[in-house]
Amino acid sequence: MYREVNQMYRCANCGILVPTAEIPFTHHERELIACSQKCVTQYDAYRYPRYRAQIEATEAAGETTRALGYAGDPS
Amino acid sequence: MESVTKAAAGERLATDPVELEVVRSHLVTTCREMGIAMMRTSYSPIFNEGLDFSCVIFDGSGEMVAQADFCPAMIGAIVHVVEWAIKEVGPENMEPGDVILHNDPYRNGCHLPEFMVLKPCFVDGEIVAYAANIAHMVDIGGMVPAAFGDTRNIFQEGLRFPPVKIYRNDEEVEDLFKVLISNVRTPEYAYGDLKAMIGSLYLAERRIREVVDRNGVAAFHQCAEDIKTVSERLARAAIAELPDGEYEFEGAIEDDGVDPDEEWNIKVNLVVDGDEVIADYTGSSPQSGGPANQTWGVTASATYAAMFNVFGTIPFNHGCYRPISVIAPPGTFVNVEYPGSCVGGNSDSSPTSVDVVLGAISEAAGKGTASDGDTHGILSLGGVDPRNGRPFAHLYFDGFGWGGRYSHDGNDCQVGKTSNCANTPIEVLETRYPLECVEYGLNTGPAGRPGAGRYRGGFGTRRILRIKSPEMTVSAHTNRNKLRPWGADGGEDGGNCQVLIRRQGETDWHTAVDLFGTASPGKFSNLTLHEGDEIEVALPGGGGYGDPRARDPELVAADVRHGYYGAAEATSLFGVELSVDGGVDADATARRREGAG
Repeated sequence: MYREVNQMYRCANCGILVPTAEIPFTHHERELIACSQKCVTQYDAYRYPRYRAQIEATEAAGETTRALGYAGDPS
Repeated sequence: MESVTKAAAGERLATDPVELEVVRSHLVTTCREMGIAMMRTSYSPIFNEGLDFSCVIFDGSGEMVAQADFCPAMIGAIVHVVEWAIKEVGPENMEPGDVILHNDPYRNGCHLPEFMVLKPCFVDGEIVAYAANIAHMVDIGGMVPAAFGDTRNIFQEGLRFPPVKIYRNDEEVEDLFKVLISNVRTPEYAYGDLKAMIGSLYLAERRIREVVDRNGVAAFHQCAEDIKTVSERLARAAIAELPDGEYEFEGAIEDDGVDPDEEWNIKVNLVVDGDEVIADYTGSSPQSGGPANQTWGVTASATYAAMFNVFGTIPFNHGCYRPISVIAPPGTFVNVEYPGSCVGGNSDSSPTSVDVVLGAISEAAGKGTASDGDTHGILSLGGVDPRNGRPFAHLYFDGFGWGGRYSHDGNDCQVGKTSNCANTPIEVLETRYPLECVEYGLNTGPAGRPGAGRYRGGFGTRRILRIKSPEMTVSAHTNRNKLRPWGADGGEDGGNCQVLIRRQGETDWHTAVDLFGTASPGKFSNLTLHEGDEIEVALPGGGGYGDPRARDPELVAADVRHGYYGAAEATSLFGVELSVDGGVDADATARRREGAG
């Protein structure tokens, strides 16, 4: 069955659209998707510490979508 | 080309260094041969004159092991495009004789006109490698002949193919070809160009089999791994020479054709950490409503193209990309979300992205460069050729001036650093399309002139085309109509782009805004011009580098002799006084420059 791109996940770290074989990971109780193990590591070491305030603001606004790499998005 | 043998010396690679170099050269030569085959068998000038394509070979694990030096914008993105197609289709679903087609920009592609074809190469039932190429198809349906206009969404841009099999068992999937050729304005060209692309895959498959037959499957796999390992080592060593730190730079694109008074920032934070680098585009503007957005693949490609300046002559393959990470937040100008328009991002926003990354690298390396002119003056032309009654679609682009840099003037009349394409010669243009080239030269006018500097920017092109058919539609996607390419280290900003139209029999030139009421002077769709009307495309010179009054006076005198500047401009821009014979008046120049200082 065809999947449109807006039904796919983007990597929570780098933003690339992930075709298949997404890598789910848990970070501070967030269920996230990455495109590679390198991005899992980089999210923890670089992206999250640097943009923590923005990430938390996004979550507070309820914008935990597939497009931002959240695994729990039911849409 | 840096020898892999040299890099492998002293390192414990499994493959004999000499054999490694033989296999690598075989694969790279195969990629070049693919390109030559496409050039000689395709129908469109953008293939056989513009060379707007790239050819690559991937190994069985889905990583690039060889490429030829055609179009860097595609080579950067193709790493991700091919990977996507392999993953979405699945190697387990591929069979001998399959060819996969894919042009979806959101699926890590560049833009819709960039068609990618991919062929798995089987030996003894196993996929040992993939041959692939990306090429620019001139017309892909959509609202504008040849694709470039002021589109607002992907559906206006043309046909979109997710990865699909266009060949099965070495036979055309006829239904798919019917869909394609029934939806484009120039079906013969589309069919011929696509067959040229596919033909090159079959050529590559033969060459890959030759090298596998000679070495054996296991040795070929090991060779592929070692080729990538060597390039990765060299790339990491080059990055390690940059000082650790964070280097920020940003540049702007004006006027997306929808909101002509808006600007969109491309911002990068280049994080150099040992032998790895992160290009983090967080902070770039939200995506625009027009066609200037970049896909993730385009942004990654621009990053790689800039980083290749650090790498120098390292053989480019997947190993080079491993130390580079790209972060591009979704929904921004540098990572457009479906169904946002993006046809112009790959062609005319990407050069600015390259310059932004180069700006950051310049800070890291302490060797600077000013901005290039960064617009190709893209015109999409369409209609019916009165000489044969057949529809045509032509994508026109040309060269701009590159920015001055720490050691040299900018190059004149070159396409972007991600493009590497050639212009369409006058003879080809006039033979193939109902156009007459009235003038073609350097853009030395004051509006488009490059920025002065110790090393000045290069000059862009200026071309006037006359319409030779009763009616022709003209669309445009250009940048730098308002913002100028930035200068660096005291150099002046470069010139502006101009797209002007003159009606037959009139003397005055007009912008599209004046004549047709378009929102933008540089991005518009489907204006109707008539026989005898003329269109001028004048492309900007690059920014200048360093204080203009530090420029070697002899170089200024030479510029005046070449007709680039007048004597008065030599004085006003560079502080150089010339004698009546055109030579430098050294004393007067010294007095003027001292007085200025």
